[in-house]
Amino acid sequence: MATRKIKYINIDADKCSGCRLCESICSASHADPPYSLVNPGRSRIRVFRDEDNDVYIPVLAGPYTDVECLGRNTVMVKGKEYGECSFCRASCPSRDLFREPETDIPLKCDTCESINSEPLCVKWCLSKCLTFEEVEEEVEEETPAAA
Amino acid sequence: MPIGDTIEIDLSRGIIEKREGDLALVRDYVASKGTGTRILWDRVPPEVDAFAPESTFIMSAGVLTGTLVPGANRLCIVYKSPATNIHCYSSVGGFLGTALKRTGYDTVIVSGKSDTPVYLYINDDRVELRDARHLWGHDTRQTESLIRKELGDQAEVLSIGLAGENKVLFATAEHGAGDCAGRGGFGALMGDKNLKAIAIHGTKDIPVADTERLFDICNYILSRTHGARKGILDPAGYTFVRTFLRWADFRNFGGIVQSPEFQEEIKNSGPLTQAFIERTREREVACANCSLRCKHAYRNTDGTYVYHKCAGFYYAMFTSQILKPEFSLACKTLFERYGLDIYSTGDSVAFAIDLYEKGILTREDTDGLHLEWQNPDVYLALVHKIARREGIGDVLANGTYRAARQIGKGAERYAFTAKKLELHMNKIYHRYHMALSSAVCDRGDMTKLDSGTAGQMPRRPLSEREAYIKDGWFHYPDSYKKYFLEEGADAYGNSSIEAQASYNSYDMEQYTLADLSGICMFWLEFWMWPTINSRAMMADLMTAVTGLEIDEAEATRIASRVISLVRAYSVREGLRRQDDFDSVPKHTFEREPRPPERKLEPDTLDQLLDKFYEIRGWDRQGIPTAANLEELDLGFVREDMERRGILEGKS
Repeated sequence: MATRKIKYINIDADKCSGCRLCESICSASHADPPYSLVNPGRSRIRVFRDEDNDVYIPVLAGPYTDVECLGRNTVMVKGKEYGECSFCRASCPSRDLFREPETDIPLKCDTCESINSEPLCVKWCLSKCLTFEEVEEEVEEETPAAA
Repeated sequence: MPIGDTIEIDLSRGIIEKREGDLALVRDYVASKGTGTRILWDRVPPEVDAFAPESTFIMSAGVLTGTLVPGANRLCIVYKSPATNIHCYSSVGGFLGTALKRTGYDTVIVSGKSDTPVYLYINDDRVELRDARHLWGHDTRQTESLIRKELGDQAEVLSIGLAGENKVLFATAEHGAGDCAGRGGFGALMGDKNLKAIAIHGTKDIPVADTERLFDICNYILSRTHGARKGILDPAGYTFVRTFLRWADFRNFGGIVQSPEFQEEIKNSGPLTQAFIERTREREVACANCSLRCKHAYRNTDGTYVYHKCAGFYYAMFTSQILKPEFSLACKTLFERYGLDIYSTGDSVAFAIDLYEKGILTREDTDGLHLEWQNPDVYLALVHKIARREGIGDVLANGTYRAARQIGKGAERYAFTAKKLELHMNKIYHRYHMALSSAVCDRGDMTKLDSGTAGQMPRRPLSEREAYIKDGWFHYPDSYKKYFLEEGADAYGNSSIEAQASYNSYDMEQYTLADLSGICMFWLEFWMWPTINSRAMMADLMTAVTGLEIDEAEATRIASRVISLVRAYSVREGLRRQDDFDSVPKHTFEREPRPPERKLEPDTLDQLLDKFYEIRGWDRQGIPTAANLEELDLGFVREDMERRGILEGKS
């Protein structure tokens, strides 16, 4: 069996302070030239927040989809109901989240691989809400398809 | 350098005008409090009452706000205060400043009065006044959530509650998780303009001139946050409790001594409060780009959350003499929803109970309410009355300075104010540092001039002071080391007159630079461990972001310009040396503090003021001299003041 490294950004939402520094550093580090701007709209991580209910949840940009979900459900947190979109990671036509402003190009977290760095949102998260972990996972070896 | 645009809104006529930013204004005044005051100088002269339709407020984010600079998130609102009638500014944290920067606007100028309630919505280039009749009468939390329902979750909202609508002179405008434009009655000004809220949503980039330089400094700053965190939290809330309890010997925060029994009760309540905080604090919450996390979330009995920080926790407890943290949370929730300043409201309620006890107020004045200490029902009833301006609340809502004069019968003796603003906590005014800070602070609230270094360090042992400098926490120029190391403090804990005036003057420049750049004062010398520990670093940050070459000397010059302009504004409104002197409560000169400290002599305060004015280039009355104004390129101020006879003209 072969192994490969899987990168995890783990989120302990109870520790999130809602400062959104992760959004700033993400958008800055992925800018061209690097750090030339800050714009959470370009960030691949967004913090969902509801101050009245003390809910702060960082959401990392996930897969792109070109269609909206058909079914919808709701999520109950601390006795308050939220739409599932609130915590959804997808770059999706139903909302602006995780798409570049102006160009509309979908955004997805690359754990900072594209900028050759450890994940900067983790590094700059001083509340230790975000942590980074690399795990060796076994993968099945690919067998050449029968001719 | 890319400069944001300016929007001008005339609420009377419903006109919104946009124009390009003014580079000259940015060069001379940078942003925020600086540009705001420059605009206020022209728009709101003494002839314009704070509540006149022409009265204008200017909202502007700091020049570093929204960039990667840690703690740079402040937005400054500059206005003539209806409470103090002089220059006033409120610095709002949270996400309002970053949102404004992202709309592409640097400055928002609002004047006029709307006929019907409206709220302002700035959404990138789209700026509109929207109907707010359905929001009128709602509390600040409801207003924020209703507006977000209309505009989307991303909108940042600053709103007033009932207190602002009713023009309570210490009404606030509230924003997000416990942030507000607190002191000086900005809420009343919004209420008077029929402006229920300001909502902002921006999606644009915030550009930076020199990226590498900025990134390096930011990393350095972040590596030094521990000190400030220590000031806020370590060991979990204890310093906090101990410090504030020491101030609680007096009620009314002006100097009426609490009874010995109550003092004893206070001492015992410390551990209880601490245990409560540790047990019930659910989260540490921060403003944009800040890792200090000074706001703490507590759950109310009704399931909602309230955010409490710092001295605010104790204000309701001490002014009511109810030493229950639960009561403090209930009060904070109520204050926030009504949009009431926690300090002024607490003071006003305590003032009323005091007057009742002295027989100056009677049951007839209070609609049959028997006022007494340690009664939560009475306390809350008074808060409701103030916010709604009902009965005695209508008088108290004018602040203790005015209320005392309305009530008469010697009530003035029990009102403790600095420049008509209720005093902030019972700071220990007999100390030179506190006395001078309170006297010269530009808006009557000395918090914006407090310094952990000048206030607490000089009295420490020499070895500690040496280590302090070695560890890089000493933010004053090298020439101040002689005060700090050689002089230290006298047996009573005071620095020399010259040292104290120098510290204060330098700190005033630092705080001004913090306001201009949008950095929260918690990152500066407010705590004993200033993370941003030099003026050079501040200048570097500004240069890296703006691309303008601002060195240490230029930063000092800009700060001095803004300080003299702010002072001149208030002087033009009638502020003089006596007002500074009276900002230290009279009892400070009359009562012996606990040994080994000693009371302040009036003569000492005079000397402190003389020295401070001299350093700033002001005359004995605290008026910026013609030479000082010319030197700082404030010729237009000199001319105006000469025309008004405040300065003697050139013959």
